[in-house]
Amino acid sequence: MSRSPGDFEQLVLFAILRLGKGAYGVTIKREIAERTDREVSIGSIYTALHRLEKRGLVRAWMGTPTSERGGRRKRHYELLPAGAKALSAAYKALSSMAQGTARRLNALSEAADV
Amino acid sequence: MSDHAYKNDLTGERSLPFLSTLLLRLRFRGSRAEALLGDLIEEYSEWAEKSGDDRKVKAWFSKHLLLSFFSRLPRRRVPLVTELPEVTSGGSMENNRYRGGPSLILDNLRHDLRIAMRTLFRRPLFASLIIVTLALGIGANTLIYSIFHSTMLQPLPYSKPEQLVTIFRVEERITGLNPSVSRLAGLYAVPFALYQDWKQLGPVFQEMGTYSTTAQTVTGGELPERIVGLRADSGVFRALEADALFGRVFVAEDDSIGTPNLIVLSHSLWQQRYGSDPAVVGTDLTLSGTPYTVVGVMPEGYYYPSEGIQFWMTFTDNQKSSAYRAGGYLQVIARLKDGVSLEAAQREMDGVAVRLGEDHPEEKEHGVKVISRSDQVISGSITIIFLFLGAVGFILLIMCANITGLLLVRIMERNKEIAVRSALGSSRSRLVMQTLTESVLLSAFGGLLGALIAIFGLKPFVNAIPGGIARSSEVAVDYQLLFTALLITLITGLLIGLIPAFRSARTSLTEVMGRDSRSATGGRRQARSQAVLVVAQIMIAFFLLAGAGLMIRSYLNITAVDLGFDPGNMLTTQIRLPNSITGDIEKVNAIYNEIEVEIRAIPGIENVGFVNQSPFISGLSFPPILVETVEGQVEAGPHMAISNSTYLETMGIPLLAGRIFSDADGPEGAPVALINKTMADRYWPDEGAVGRRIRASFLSNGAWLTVIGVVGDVHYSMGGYPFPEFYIPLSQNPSTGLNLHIRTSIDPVLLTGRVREVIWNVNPDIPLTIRQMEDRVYSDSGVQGPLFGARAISILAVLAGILALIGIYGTLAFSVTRQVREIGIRIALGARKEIVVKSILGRGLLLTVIGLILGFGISLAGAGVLRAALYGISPSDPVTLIQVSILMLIAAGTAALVPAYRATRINPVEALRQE
Repeated sequence: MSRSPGDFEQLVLFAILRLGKGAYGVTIKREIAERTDREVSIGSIYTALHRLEKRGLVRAWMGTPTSERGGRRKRHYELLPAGAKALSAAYKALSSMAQGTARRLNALSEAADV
Repeated sequence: MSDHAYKNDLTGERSLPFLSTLLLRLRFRGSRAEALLGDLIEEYSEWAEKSGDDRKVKAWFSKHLLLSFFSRLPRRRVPLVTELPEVTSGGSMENNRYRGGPSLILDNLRHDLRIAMRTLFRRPLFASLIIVTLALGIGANTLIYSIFHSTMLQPLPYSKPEQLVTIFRVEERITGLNPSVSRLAGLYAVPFALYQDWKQLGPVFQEMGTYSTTAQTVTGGELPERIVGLRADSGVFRALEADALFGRVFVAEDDSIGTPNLIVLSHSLWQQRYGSDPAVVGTDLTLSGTPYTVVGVMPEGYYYPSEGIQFWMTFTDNQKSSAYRAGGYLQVIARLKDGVSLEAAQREMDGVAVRLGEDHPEEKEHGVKVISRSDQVISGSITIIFLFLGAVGFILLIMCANITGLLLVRIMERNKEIAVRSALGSSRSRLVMQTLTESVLLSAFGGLLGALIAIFGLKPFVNAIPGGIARSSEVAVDYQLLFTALLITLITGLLIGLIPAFRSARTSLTEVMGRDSRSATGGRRQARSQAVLVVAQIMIAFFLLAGAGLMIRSYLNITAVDLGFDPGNMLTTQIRLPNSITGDIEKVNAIYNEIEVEIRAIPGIENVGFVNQSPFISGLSFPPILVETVEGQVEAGPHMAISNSTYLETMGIPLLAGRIFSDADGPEGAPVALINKTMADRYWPDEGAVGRRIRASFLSNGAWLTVIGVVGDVHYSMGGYPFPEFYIPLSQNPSTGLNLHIRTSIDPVLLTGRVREVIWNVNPDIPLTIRQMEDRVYSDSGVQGPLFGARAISILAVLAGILALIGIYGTLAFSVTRQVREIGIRIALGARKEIVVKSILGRGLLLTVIGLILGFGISLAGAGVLRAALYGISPSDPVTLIQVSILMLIAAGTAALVPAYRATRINPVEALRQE
């Protein structure tokens, strides 16, 4: 394990975690879009997934062809233990850094919004 | 409807648009590409259902497709093993056939491309040599074809150009003009009265107009200047459907007698002289002393009906009312009515000519010819363009044959690899495709460079053609050129690749292995292909070299012609007097006299002569005259020149019989004429011409002129033949537009400035272009055209010859390499060196002789093409053809000697050890 997953990779990992068995390109993309209000391209999701796959954090397998996809198979993803560990480590690091800062952060960011 | 279909396309069985699929598949590997595409489609169809706006959805789709394409996903890779890639790439050999399925073909194509690239870069010198050769061939072909396309194939830039015709008068009289100079020989310009008759009687035409070229003097600038334009009537503008940029063009009322002098300016003249001032309309412009009112300015680039003209001016009242029908000077352009064919128009005009002959006896001997405008425009440059088109096409063929030969050798070298691949299950189609990919890749690189050559060479080449070519201003770099380059590239790629590709497919394992263990019998088929290629190259090279040889001989013939006068040490200029003076003949004579006297006073001047038409300077005129022969009076149309008494002596034209003009031949003396030898031979071949008579109705009040002498023939332009000609004395026939000829005893260049000074001292408003006679002769398009043609074709032909020699050398060298063992054994068994040399040299010479015989054949068959471009030599001239064959035989022998010599140096021990 070389390094912890980056910002976007964490989002992808969380999405896979949330989606469980239903995780593939479209659903991952939609999950991120709905929860973070971020429109991302499918290509960048595949780029992230590919990196995660290479590092042994997620695993992929091909589904069966369906007609609404023009006969193309889905590539399903699932979180591997190493992935769960890396994600939880990253999340822990972030949340411990964030602890007790919520009010001030909100106030500051609201001021910045004005 | 179509939007709906598009959606179905995406979600239905046929899935995504082909191109996007292709792009993604080319970029990404295997299942990832499939999943990505599937995701895109899934999202797309949801979007499409939700949102009614199809355009938005499509935009979304394209955007995401693009984004995906540029994302950093793992790309496709081809396994690194190159020699036997099939075995490792797909796992099973089944996968490696072109079984259909777009993805597999694509995979194979990518694969082939990669291998081809690698194979080429492994031998960069070999590859770049081929690429540069191809670039030259493709570039030259693209360039010439582009010129051909935009000048010959494109319709003229008028609306309904097929309706435009030019009408000529046909004269039966023979003038001796070289008919090969122009397809338009025998067709003549028209007098104003005839034009008006045609206009009245020719109902098949919507519009008819007439024009003639005119040169006018503009003063008011730093120096008096001559500019060229047209006299034109309103019909010209209507026939061409031309309108002014602003102001107006001529209208029908401007054509009637008694209207003021009007002028329409070209865009460039307007820019130069008026600084693009729009207020020019309505002002007066004085040309050659006469004021013209500017009525309009034409759009930029509008020079029609002929290129390079600066203005259009109305005809003078004198011109319009002239009833003179003998000599013509007008071009007549007309537009056919809708649905009227050229043939119908010709029939109609034939009828008109007959009717006119009844009213006007002098029209009886004339006919009418209606020619399509586009034929007329391109007729002058058609020969040179076809010549080039043929030459570069043949060069490309030779290059292809040559490169095919090289590639064949490569295939031979890779025989073992190919045999193994095919033994391991590579299908023939795969092997063919692999080889073809390599050749197409080579030609693609060549084509890319070639297109650049064509793009940057186009304009310089067009400008280098002496005398220019018709419609050259319309030649431009455009899509046509790129398309041509692409097409030629593809064809070339297939041409050079097909033979090697199928040879490689026919490689069999047993043959390859057998060849290696046994003697040199294997690869015989290869050798046969090579032999055919070499023969083809020699054939084409011979054809081109013969053509070049003929053109050089033709050029030499042209320059070797005795002009009939001495062009050395001579200055010449036209002297055009301002219109304000030309009305008064006394004044005109006074000015010419003064100029002559002043010039004679300059040290270094030997003689001075005046004439109205002189060689290499001004146009020709062939008025109709009567000649009194022994059999009675006959009509004739010799050339006429009006000269002073010193002209012939100044030019060095010899007097052959009788006497030349003297002071006695003044206005009061009996009217006289001199004739040239050709005219004397034609009309008085045996009895002597001196003392005979000729008559021209418009000269000396129609009195008979007595021939007082016979002088030598003179060539008026290069590449022509002397025609019958008569001279009449200036003193009896006052003329206002004369050419000045000055014979000097020192280098004429030294006197140019002094001569100009002297003339401008007499009258500063005379525009002058003082040039040496030699200069005019040499720069005549009759010299420069053939010189350019001979040079260009020679360069191409020599290139073809060199390529053919390389072909011979390569083939023989390869066959020596192939037969090293066999030759080694023969030497070991005691074969003498001469026999070895003889067998190899013999093979080279045999191929050459076969090629030469075939070349001889096509040269004779293609002789007609060259005929129009040659002067004084037949296109099947045996001397030239035999000279060229001997030359090629010697060169081929030399090329064959090198590998033959190398064969004798084969060491039998080493040769046998090679196994």
